[in-house]
Amino acid sequence: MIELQNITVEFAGKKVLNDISITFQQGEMIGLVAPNGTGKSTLMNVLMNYLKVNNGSLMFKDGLSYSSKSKEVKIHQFVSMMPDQSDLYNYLSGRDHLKMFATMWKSDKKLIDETIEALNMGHYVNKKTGTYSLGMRQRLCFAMQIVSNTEIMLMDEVMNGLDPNNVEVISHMLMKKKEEGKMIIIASHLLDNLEKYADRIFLFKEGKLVDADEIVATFSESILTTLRVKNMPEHVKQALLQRYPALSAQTLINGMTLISLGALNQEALSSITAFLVECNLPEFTFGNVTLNDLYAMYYHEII
Amino acid sequence: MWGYFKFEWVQFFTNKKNVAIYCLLLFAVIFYSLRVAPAYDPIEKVDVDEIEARYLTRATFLQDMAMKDLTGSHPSVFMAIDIFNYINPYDQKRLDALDRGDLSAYAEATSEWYDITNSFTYQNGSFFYNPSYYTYGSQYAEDNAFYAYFENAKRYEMFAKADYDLSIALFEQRTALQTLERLLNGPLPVILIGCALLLAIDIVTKDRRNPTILRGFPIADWKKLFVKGFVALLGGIVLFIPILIGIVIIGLQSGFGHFGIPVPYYTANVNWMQEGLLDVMSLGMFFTQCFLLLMMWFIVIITVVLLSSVVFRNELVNLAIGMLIIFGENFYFSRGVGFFWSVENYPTSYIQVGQIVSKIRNYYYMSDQLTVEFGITLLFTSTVIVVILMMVIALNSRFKMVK
Repeated sequence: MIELQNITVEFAGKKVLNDISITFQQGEMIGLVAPNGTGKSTLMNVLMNYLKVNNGSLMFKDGLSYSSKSKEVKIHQFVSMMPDQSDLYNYLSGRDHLKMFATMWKSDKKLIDETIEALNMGHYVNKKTGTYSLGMRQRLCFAMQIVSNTEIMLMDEVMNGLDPNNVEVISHMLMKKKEEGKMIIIASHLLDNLEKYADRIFLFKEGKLVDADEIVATFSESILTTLRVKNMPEHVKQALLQRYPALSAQTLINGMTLISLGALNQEALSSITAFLVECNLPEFTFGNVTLNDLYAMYYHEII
Repeated sequence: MWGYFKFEWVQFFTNKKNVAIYCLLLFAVIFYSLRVAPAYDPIEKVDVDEIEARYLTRATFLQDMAMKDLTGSHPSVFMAIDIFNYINPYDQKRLDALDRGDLSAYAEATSEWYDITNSFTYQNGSFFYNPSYYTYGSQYAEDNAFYAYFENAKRYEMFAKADYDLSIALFEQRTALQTLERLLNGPLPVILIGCALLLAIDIVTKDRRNPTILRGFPIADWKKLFVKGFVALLGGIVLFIPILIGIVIIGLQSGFGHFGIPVPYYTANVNWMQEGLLDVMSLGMFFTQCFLLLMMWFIVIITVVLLSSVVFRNELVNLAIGMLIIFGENFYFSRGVGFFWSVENYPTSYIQVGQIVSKIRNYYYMSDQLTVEFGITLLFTSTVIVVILMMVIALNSRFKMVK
């Protein structure tokens, strides 16, 4: 468990984290989403005590907090953060790095081989990391944190440089760790992936953590609320709204038009489908607002 | 802790800078052993030709004077006759002993020869020591020669009583262990302490290259510092491996010697005219004391580097501070200054490890206060102070070893 109370961090008078109060529980996967430089890494650094807060407090299980050096060591025994791939020792092998982390956290050595196998690292793990590609390094960094086997795992841009297959492999491993009761906090720009696996997703706005469910009330529910139409011309949108005055529409910066369906019946939905096909707009889906939509809606940016 | 030790150990011995230091030291040792040591030309050597030439010159002079009426001659002529008559029998004994190959008799006669020669040469405007002492306009040539003669007299006195095999190489201090003794009295301690400084210089600051890997390790910063210090100390001890290789190379050429060889040390005896200026210890004891003092120096340098690293976080500053400590003695050292200042209270006065153990440094300082025991106590106290300062910083909750 991590409990943040009124956490505030300022850099040069600018509040990067502004009075954040929230509690994360074991067995949760938390997604953090925001454009670069808005506070994701800062929050992780605060959780690791790499950065001192200007105000507020942080509490872990058994009332532990970063009040002294000895308590910091105790907390770091069950909280770890994924290393950055640029920090790897180029003259050591991947296996050396895994052994290093397993030894430091006194975890089961069997985990090293299991993780190597699960992440398909067997063909390169004994080579020096200086010869690795970005994706190989990234997988190694992820594996290092997995072998540390801590109760709380913080991962900043864990999917960087990974191909879709490896994104899936890592995602499944994360799910497995979550099922083991570990808390996983991930900052990522792979929104589809995050949306698929995270239990709660938070966006950063002006130093505050905003739950995606607060932005769109039904975000985390599996219900049909929205018609998403790609590259919808303005005149078609106006024509649709004239035909169905109960609808509301919003075109996002990523070219996606979100049409809120409200309480339309099946007949109306069929009619709308026919209308879009008539207008030669075959790329549309019925469903809910996606995290990509939410991101574009919230930050007016495209990832 | 053990895991962190292994991690630091691997890093230390795969650090290119450290590997380069070991390789350069090994290269220097091999060069010294193969080229410099065999060419060693001591001032006080066993030189039959020189003894014979001196002996014959004096004998001829004495014969010439015996045939002359010396009435009205210069007083120095009478003084020369007296001294030559007194010293020539000793040279005769030395030559005879060498002719017979009786090195024990040679040692006995030579010991006496050094004592007698010293007594009439020191501060005598008419007699001089070996000209080699006067090279480069040495201001202290007479004092150095005076000490060297006492040292040789003592050394040969012990050789005369020896129950082990004697050799010319032993007399001229050419054996491997004696070469090490000479080096410990010379530049070797500073070289080794300098190497220890260079090995340790980045042991903390290197971590800034891998911050996200290291700063989350569940080990207290003060423990990390201690492990780093311990690894650097072990790395310092590894510096002796090239030295041992050099000993083997020299030993194969000139013999190894043994730990029972006598090493004279200065005693600052007020009755030196009667009782002598020097006493002896075994070479084994000399090495033991040198090793202890060197280890203490390694510890001091490493702890200072650790403290400097957590305060300044810059290798160049570490280097500057380390150099200041190693060469600090040069700022105040001069012959006889110990008579006026309490130089024995400055830790930097103990940097010339071999000279502290053989106490020739006391002779140079004109002080009898510089001892190995006091030096180790002083260095240990300095270490404790540095460690306390380091702990105060490392235990501060705002301190981050890796930023």
